[in-house]
Amino acid sequence: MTDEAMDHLSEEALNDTLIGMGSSTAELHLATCTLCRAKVEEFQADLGVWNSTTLAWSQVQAEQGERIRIPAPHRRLSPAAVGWALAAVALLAMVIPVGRESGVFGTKHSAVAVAQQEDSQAQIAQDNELLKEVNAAINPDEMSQLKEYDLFKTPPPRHRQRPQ
Amino acid sequence: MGAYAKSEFIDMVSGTRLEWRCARRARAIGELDDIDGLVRNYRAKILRFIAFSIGDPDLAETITQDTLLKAWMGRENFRGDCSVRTWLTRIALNVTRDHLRSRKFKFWKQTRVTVLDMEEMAAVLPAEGSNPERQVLAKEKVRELSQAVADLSPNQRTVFLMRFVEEMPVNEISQTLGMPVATVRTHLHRALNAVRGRMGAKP
Ligand SMILES: [Zn+2]
Repeated sequence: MTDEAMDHLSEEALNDTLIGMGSSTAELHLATCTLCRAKVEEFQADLGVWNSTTLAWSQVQAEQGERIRIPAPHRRLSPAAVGWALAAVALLAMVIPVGRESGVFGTKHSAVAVAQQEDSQAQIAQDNELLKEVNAAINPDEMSQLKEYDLFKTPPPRHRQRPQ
Repeated sequence: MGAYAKSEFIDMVSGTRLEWRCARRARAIGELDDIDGLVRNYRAKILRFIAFSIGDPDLAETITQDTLLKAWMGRENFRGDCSVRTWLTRIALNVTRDHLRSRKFKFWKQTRVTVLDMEEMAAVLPAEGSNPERQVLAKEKVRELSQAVADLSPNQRTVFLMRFVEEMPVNEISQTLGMPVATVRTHLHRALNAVRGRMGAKP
């Protein structure tokens, strides 16, 4: 059978293959059709380059990041201890200037600063719609189990202001 | 060597599954106990996932730290029904949701990650051989794909990253997001159409 005479995989079938839901018919076709296989392999190759590059990038970012501080030994704290801990955090937040100019992702912040302008009401409304979607999509079960640890949530000592 | 009754057989099978799950849980708790190992093995991966999900590398770093801390502190809650990486992804999504809720977060500036970090990104491109043409091509591919991902809708982007970056199977994505498999598939198809279209892989 020539390429022209062959019934090639539809885009839908190709997409199913790429997401790991390909049918056995599609698999069979891919085993014999260089044209369709080339499409699959092209996407996988592009994705491979992207994945290795973005991981290398995030590894650099993570290495430059702050050391993650762990309360050790980890144990439950009495309410009094919690109070003291919160007071200490509040005090630290006041004492330590909010400047970490060249921290984790610390480059080209001026570009970010320029990009960040005041939210318009329309933008806020649009963002809130998006958040609703995200909230609806994400299952809250896991976090509720971890609620008791919320007190350890690191304060957001960010080095630049976010839109309020 | 007697034949087992059907119910005994089923018990044996489920018993084996339970044992396997317990073994995985025990191994994972061991892995989760080692906070340094956890940070070493997963920090960059979570950071990438969140950074590309929300388009804000700074917030992604905060979320990554919270995620690892919460996973480590809540490690006894790990049930062994998924891999540690999937579990961390679930926590990361929840921490992200909390962050988004807690502030009027500017959701996604379409060009931020790509504009901001493409040069950093290009700088870390693995130097395959010394063929400058291939380097330029690879750089262009990375740029295109980053922009394509940035342009996806939040839902499409989340499932795309879960499938193709976190390498989660569709059914795990469905469970994690509480979203029907068919919906996950639809989002993935749309995301692929957009991304492949942009990459020139589609006619
Ligand atoms: Zn074909």
